[in-house]
Amino acid sequence: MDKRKKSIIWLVVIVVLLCAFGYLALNGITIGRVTVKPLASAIKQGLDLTGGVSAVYEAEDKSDPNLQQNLEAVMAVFRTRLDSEGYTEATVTQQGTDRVRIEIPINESQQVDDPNEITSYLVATAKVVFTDNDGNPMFEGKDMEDVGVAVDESGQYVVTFALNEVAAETFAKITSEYVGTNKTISIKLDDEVISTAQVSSAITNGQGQITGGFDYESANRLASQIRSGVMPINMTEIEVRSISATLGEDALSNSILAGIIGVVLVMAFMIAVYKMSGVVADIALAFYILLVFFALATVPGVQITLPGIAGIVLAVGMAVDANVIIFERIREEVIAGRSLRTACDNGFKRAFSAIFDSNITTIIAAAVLLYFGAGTIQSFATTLLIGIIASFFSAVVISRGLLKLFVNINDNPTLYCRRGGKA
Amino acid sequence: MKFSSNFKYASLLSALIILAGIIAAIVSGVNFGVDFTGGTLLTLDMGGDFDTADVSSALETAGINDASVIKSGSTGSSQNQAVIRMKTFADDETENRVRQQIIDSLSDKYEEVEITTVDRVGAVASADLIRSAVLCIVIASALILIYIWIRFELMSGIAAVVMLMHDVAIMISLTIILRVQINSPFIAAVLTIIGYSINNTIVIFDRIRENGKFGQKKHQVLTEELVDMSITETLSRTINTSITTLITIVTLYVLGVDSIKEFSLPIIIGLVAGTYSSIFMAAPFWGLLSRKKKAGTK
Repeated sequence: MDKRKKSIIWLVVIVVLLCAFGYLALNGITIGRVTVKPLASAIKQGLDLTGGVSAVYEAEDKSDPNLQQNLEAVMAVFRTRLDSEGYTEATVTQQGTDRVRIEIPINESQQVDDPNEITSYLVATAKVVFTDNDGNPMFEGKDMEDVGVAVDESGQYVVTFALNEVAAETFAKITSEYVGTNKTISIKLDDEVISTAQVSSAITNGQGQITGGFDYESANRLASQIRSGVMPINMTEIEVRSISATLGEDALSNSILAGIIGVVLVMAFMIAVYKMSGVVADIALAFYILLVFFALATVPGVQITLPGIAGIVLAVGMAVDANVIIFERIREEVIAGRSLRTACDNGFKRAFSAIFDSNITTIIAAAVLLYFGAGTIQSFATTLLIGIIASFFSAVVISRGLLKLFVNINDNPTLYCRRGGKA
Repeated sequence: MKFSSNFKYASLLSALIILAGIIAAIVSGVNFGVDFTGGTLLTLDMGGDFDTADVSSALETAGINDASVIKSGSTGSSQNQAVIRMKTFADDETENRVRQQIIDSLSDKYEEVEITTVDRVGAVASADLIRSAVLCIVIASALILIYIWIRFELMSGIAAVVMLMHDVAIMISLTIILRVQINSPFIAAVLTIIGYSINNTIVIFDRIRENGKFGQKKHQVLTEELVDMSITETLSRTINTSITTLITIVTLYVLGVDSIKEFSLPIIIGLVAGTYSSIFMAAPFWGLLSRKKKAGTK
């Protein structure tokens, strides 16, 4: 088989594979028992696309020597409280040295009607203290086990608990002492008395309950707050954002449309200016887009947000930049009288340093954003970084191989260089 | 083309734009968003066309007099969203109460009214944002300077970073003049331009590096000629790479929602400024620096 036929076959194989992977990425496939999910569904969407609530809390006392340890405890408390509210998809991350950021995505099954309700629930200290008649603490929330919710005889919601051994003993001693007297036991929640009662009978089994005029929801929340533990330090809320789900949907569909139109226009521009070389660049661009989506779906911790989409679309424009630089270089080589094959080799070789250096500077900027940015900015930096690396690979490796195949099929230089050349 | 001898005119144009930006900032102020000023931003979907006066009176009923209301919308001509900007409330209860009051008084006339976004940014968060923005820009520029110094030489690094500062200054100036709101994505836009607009400059410097080596052996080319020659030779790729990137970002601007527009417009400005400075200023400025340095060492 001659070189030309071989190259045609290779080219057909590559294009068919590209289409197949593209189809897989969009639609997924099921063969027998093996199901490949569409790539697009594996990409995590950020809050501005799904809708949701994000909040940032800052430690009040920044001179705390055990700040890091306490922040980790705070994050664990947040996590438990979020989980018990059913927000299992929510994320809790530390930001800088003294901040914690939470993000709660919403969907059909999880709605957040009022962002303030959830954020104030999260940050509450929830310190429950039982005090004796003189106001001395007997035991606290941390002594309680098996915390739950029940309805008492009068039909009120109460939080029930079982005490650990030491606390149970204290409780038994004091309640036996108070029976028949007018001495009272009080329950304090965050230093505020929520109920006071006389003792009707001694409680020796360590079982007790918290009354305080709760409804089902508030009793449940208090129970989960007690279970999650007391907040070790005070946190102040410094930023809250909430976005409705419909707004996010609009933003996503608009940006995807912009992305598709942008890609088509860039592809048309490349063919119009660089002819067959433009076709090479376009195939490489399709490959690049697949590569980026694959990376977005697989690299851990990547979230796609609105600025993130902008980063990807922007990187499409940048991805063909390297090809423009290479093709212009090849044209120069052809004009200088070299054969198309030599011109292609030289073009890739000599354009490499400029492409490499310019990619490194963009990577530097993206890395700085990644390090210092937070939230959506960080996601923009990640997608930009993925975009640059993928475009470098597709422009330098993929398009080089493709161009070789094309030249094997037809090596008339006028097909590969833009007009205006002497060749 | 005589790029080197026209350097002063190119710089004059840029200086005028930056001056206009400074004047605009002094006269009409900078349109900072809540990310920078702190405050609460409430977006209402009114379910149809509406009168901003209705929203303002609903705010007054709720006891808020210093809020601003603007119309906005993601879908072309229909502007169904009211963006209310106000100071952050003392506590959550007050905010909830006020929000409920606004919705209640509006729902008489606009049945489908609902809150789509709530952004509340504290003063601490906004002060931090400014600090980290400046830090980001300084660190990125310093690292790029060092990289180019290593790969080329010091004068190229200085020239390239001065041009980056120029591009950022033009971006900020035009953003102020056009009254585009500056929020945290603006910082990402600036950093993108810092990383990207230097690409064109590097292509030209790379050509100078190549032509310079060649020139030393064959015929001594003066820096001014070397610069002009290198810019001319790389002109078509500088323009074409900028066009492809502009195509995608302009599409985003045209079709995107408000927050995307707010982000893509500064990038468009920065791209144009970057292309302009790469062609007309970067290499001539490098030539100027190199000649000064040579004269100094003699």
